[in-house]
Amino acid sequence: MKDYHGCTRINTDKRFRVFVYISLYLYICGITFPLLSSELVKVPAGVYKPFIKVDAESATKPIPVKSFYLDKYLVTKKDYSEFISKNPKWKKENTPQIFADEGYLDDWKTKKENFILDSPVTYISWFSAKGYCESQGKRLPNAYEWEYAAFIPPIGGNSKTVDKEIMRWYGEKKPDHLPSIGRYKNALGIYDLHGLIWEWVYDFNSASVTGDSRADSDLESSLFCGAGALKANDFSNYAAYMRFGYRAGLKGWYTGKYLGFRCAKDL
Amino acid sequence: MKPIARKFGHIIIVLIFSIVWFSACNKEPVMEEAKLTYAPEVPPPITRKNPAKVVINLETKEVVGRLADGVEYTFWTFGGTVPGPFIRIREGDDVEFNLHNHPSSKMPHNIDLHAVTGQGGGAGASLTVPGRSSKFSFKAINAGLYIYHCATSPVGMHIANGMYGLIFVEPKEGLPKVDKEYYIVQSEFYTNGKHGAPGLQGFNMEKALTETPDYVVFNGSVGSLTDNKALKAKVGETVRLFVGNGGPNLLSSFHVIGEIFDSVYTEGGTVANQKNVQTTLVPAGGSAIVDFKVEVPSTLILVDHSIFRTFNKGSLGMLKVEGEENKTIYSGKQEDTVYLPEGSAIQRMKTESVEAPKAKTKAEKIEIGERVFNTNCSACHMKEGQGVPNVFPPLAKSDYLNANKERAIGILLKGLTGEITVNGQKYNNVMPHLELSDDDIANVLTYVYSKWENKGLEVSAEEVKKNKK
Repeated sequence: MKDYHGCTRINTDKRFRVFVYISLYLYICGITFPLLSSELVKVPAGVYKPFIKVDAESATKPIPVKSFYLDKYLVTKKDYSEFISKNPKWKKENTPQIFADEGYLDDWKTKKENFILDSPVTYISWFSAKGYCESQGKRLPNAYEWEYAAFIPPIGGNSKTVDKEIMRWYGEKKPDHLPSIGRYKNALGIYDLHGLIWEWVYDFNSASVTGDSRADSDLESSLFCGAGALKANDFSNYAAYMRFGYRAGLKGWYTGKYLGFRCAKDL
Repeated sequence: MKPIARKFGHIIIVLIFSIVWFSACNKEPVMEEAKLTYAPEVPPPITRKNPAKVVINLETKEVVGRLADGVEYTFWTFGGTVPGPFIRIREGDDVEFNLHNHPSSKMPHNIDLHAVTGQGGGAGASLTVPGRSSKFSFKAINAGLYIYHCATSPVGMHIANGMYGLIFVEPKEGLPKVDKEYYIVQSEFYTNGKHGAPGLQGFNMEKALTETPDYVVFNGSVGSLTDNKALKAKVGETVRLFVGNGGPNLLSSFHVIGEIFDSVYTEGGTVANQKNVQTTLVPAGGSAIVDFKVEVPSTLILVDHSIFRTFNKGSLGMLKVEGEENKTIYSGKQEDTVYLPEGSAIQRMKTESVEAPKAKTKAEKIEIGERVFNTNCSACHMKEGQGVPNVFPPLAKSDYLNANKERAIGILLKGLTGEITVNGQKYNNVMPHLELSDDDIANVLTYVYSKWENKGLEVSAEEVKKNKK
């Protein structure tokens, strides 16, 4: 998969510096320029078939997804600490609780040797994730985009391969510290959409799933159609239900050990 | 009495009355935190005569634990155990329920208490992502024994991973007093590996959908109620079991081997509606209360009488009863004798008289003989003629067999009883006379002699006939 810039990740730092200079220059000239410090992968246009009814009109009709860019990697602790040093308002002590609860960056207190720089940053609120992406001229992916990309299996795999990774993650012995990124790669070359953490999406609370998933069946709002359309053996959808349940339980200021993000960008 | 004093007396009486009245009216309802216990313990009966405001704190936690010896599983739990803690409240209580999802959890969780009247039994108000707490309140308007479980989608997976427990809403009048109360929940686990496959086992969705569990257990693991973890009672005591079934799929035929339930509150209701029950059905997502008095010392075996689950998948518990024997109720073994009816030492077994094909060559004899052996002999002498040590003598490499062909024919014609020595080992048992045709005797002996390092002798129907006297 051709990447957006045709650059490799190793050049990131050098590139980053050049970008800083250029941006500074352009800023001085009154023009803002987005900083793109991490690699993006182009996700081709396609159709996302939701198994959850999102609103009365859409039912479970396939939803066209326009082509977009998605971060190849999850945002890491290293990425985020760089962001904070440039945007001190997102330091823990400066961030008001309406934008991030008391758990914000909770694991940054751990001992240095346990602080794995290239592990995904978690204990991140929706506001802070959004702030990060915007600082780079990007945005959070929306749920359809994310789900669409996440359903793409690894090369040579199928939906069962995806499901297996999800189930492996659900059942694994939890590590004390989140491991490094780059474990699971889908056919587009996007890493860790499954198997490491949950990810924020822009519209995390738009799927009208109530706290009691089963009640949705008579609310006619969401999971009923999902359940109706769901073949009994469609395991990957079944496992994916958890994401919708998780998102439904979130508020913008919540943070969690297994909740991080990656950014997206329009073409 | 002087009027003034009378007046004063009135005032005092009114004052006392009003104090009593006021304090009675203004009495704050009792506020208490529910004491939770872990299986098999049950919190003590509630002795309060009035409803109270009860606060319940329950934590959801994902933990790796033992499912069987050498087998681990990532359980999703209430309170860190399977089943979750036993909750005991009283009919009419106002309950404030706090569900805390541990920050180390990966999954969102909630709780549906079947004791709650309201949206989703509380599930609608308790969806909680890791590191958060949810609070909701309910009034316990219905007494009974209820299952609670997680109802976050996918519901089946949350239950299959261990998220259930029992809540008992004690009726106002209470239950009859008993000496011992215990808490048991049956449930199944669907693992990627087969039963007994070692290591950390993942959840298998395919098996869950086809309802073919590898483990059916009491209280979350194989052996949770056996040996030194067995339940205990003394002779003469009354025992009450609060039995739940977490499912997710199977119904339990709950039975206690060696006991009869004196009374059963079927399906966990508040009426002891049945007396003298052997096996009570506990539906998935349901419960039962069983009471019984233990009269004699023994180890009572708690089982799901869908019996392969018990002896092959783990649903076996024990209740050890200690105390004085009572020989009038149960004698124990009084005699051990050989049973030989009709006074005859040798039993005749009727075999079907089917016209068998006649064997012409030795190879054909062996072929037919093998069939005869498999239908008539292999049950005792075993498929490879190895016999069963101390019980059934071997035919393989057998000195007794090879030493005397005619004796072998005779045994097949007449049967054999009494002590013999085969390959240096003494056997004292009965081989029945089998009504085999002369041809079949010849065939089966030829087969046996041709196998397992025996001498390879051939036996003919004529030889058999000759020995028939």
